[in-house]
Amino acid sequence: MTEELILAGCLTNNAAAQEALYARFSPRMLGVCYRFAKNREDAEDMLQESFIKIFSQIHQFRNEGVLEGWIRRIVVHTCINVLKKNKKFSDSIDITYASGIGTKEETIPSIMQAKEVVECIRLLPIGYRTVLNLYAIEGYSHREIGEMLDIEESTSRSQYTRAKSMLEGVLVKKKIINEPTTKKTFFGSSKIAK
Amino acid sequence: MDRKFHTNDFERLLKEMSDEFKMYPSKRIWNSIYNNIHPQRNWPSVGMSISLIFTLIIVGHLNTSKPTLDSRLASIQPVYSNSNSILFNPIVFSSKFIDKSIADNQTTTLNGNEIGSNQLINSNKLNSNLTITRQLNISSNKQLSNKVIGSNILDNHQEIAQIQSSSSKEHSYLNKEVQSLSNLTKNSIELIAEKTSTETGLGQISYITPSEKSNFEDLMNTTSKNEIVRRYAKNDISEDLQNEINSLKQKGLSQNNQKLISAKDKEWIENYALHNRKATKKWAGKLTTLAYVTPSVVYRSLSYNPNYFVNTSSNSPASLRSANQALSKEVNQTPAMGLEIGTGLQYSILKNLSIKAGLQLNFSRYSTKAFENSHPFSTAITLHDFKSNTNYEIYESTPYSNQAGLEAIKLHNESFQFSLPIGADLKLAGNENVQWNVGASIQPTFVIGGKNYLISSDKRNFVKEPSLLNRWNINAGFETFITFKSNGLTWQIGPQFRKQLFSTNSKKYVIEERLLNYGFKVGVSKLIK
Repeated sequence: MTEELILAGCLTNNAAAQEALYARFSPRMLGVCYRFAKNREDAEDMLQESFIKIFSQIHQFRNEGVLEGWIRRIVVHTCINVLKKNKKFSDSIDITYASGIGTKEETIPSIMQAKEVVECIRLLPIGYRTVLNLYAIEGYSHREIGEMLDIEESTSRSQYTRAKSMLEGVLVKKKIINEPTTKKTFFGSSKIAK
Repeated sequence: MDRKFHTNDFERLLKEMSDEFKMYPSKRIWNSIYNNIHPQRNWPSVGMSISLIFTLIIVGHLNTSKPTLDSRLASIQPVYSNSNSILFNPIVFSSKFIDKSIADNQTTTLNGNEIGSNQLINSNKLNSNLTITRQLNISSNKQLSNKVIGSNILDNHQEIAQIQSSSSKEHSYLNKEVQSLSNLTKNSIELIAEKTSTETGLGQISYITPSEKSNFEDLMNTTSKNEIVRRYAKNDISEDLQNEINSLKQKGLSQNNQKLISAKDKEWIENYALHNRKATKKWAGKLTTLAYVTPSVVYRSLSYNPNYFVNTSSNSPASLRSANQALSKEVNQTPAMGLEIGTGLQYSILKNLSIKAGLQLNFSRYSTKAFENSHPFSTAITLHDFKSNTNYEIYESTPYSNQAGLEAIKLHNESFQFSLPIGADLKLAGNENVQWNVGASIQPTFVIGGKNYLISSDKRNFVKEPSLLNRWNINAGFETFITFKSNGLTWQIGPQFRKQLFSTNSKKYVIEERLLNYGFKVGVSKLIK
């Protein structure tokens, strides 16, 4: 079934078309939810809520962009809303906890690199993780992140910087990436990942 | 919003990896989504559920609302005289019985038609009795089942009872009643005329006579509808009707009744009401079922039996006391967890006092520190001979030592008991919802089984000797607890102390062991209504 047919079916509230849409996008969208959520159960709840919104608002999609992008945006916003509703995002960022995450090596399965990277992201504190997800992976600007999370743009920047540094450390420890080397530039030195 | 991808290698890596990452949701998620976006698809199942519940209610109602009288009536066959007249028929019988049970004692009978305490001729009753008349004609031809008729009449009369109670209160209802009465009276006269004209030798019904018929016609002709209403409003209709009824009764109705119902049947009617009276429960509201569990810590006390205590220097109480202290020091024991599970009944005899009895299973255990040796060796335990009133020693072999050995172990002294606690609870304070109580019980106990390790005469070894285990014992229990009500149940929580009154072991063994349980009881009780 092509995407056009699926879309047309969903617009007429056709159950088969809805199931086809769900089958096509749910695995990737659950991956998105999982990066935001505390555990798999929370992620599935987020996915469920997202798809209910998607099917009820499908008539608002105007074929101006890619369907997956539109679905993804709804999923991300739903995840953020759930986190805000559960006050998980407002939890203070515990730097001590964050610095100790490298010791949790045994919790990371080494089946697939993608899964390893996602699991490393999930080891970050919720605030760091959310900002990193939104900025580096979902492509939102710091201004948009600030609006979404009700924080200052500068806070978003600083949290992202810390999250990135922390995640780099974890990925290096897991040997997923090489240790960044210091590169001398005209303005000073900066670390780059190999 | 377009996604703004960052060119940094690290961020590109993250994005690529994250986009590759997929997870497959469980089927449950799709089902939930589907149910949410298609709520109308749930209606068939909801409809099915409702219809199923409705069917169950109807079936339940039909099963429970059938009076047991039906079966008894069905078993009673019509009694025919030699002239083929019906002397007793369960149909008439049932109508009389039901009327007797639902109407006042002042109810009188007119050709089988009933007049209630409000003295108003009930059209429905006429209807039902006319039905009886018709059915009796058929019955005389022996073509209809008595059971069907009987149950129809029962239903009719149950409705009549309800109508009677409301009709006496509402004047508007009176008009309807009189209207239908008037119509039905005409019908009844016609029916009676028809009956009398079609009567043949097959079955002459003895309780309607031509003179009664004419009287009835006269009554209804002289009393028009409007007249009935007017006179009812003046409250004088009852008197007239009563007079008419009395005159008809005088003319031989009583004789017919005597023919219709035998003395035996009359007795049955009277007995039925007597024997089917709802039994009053004297214990209702006072009896409570109780279930509880009491985790406990078990200790034991060891002492010499003062009757058999023999000391080389002195048998004085002081000497006994010091010997007991020494004995306790010799044995190194640790308490262990025990458990009591019980159920019972509680009966409130006074406002603040209730007695209780029940069944209880006890598991008691404590541990003794000991040493196990690779080889058993001989040791002696002291017993008492009641005939000669002297102590003697028997020799046993045991691998367990009290003082030194190859391997340190714990000997688990266990006891499984079955007891019948009988006691009382006293309410000290509280209101209806929360109360503070104290309780005490005496518990005759049977020891189902267990393990006991006896200390040897020289206190150096432990001997396992199940044959010396005392099978019967008595425990005393003391408790204080708080009760509170929740969801129709009453919960009991509080500490409990239980002491074994006699030794665990046989009287022959000179050292007595008594168990002490310190527990915390959690119970739940429910009032039996």
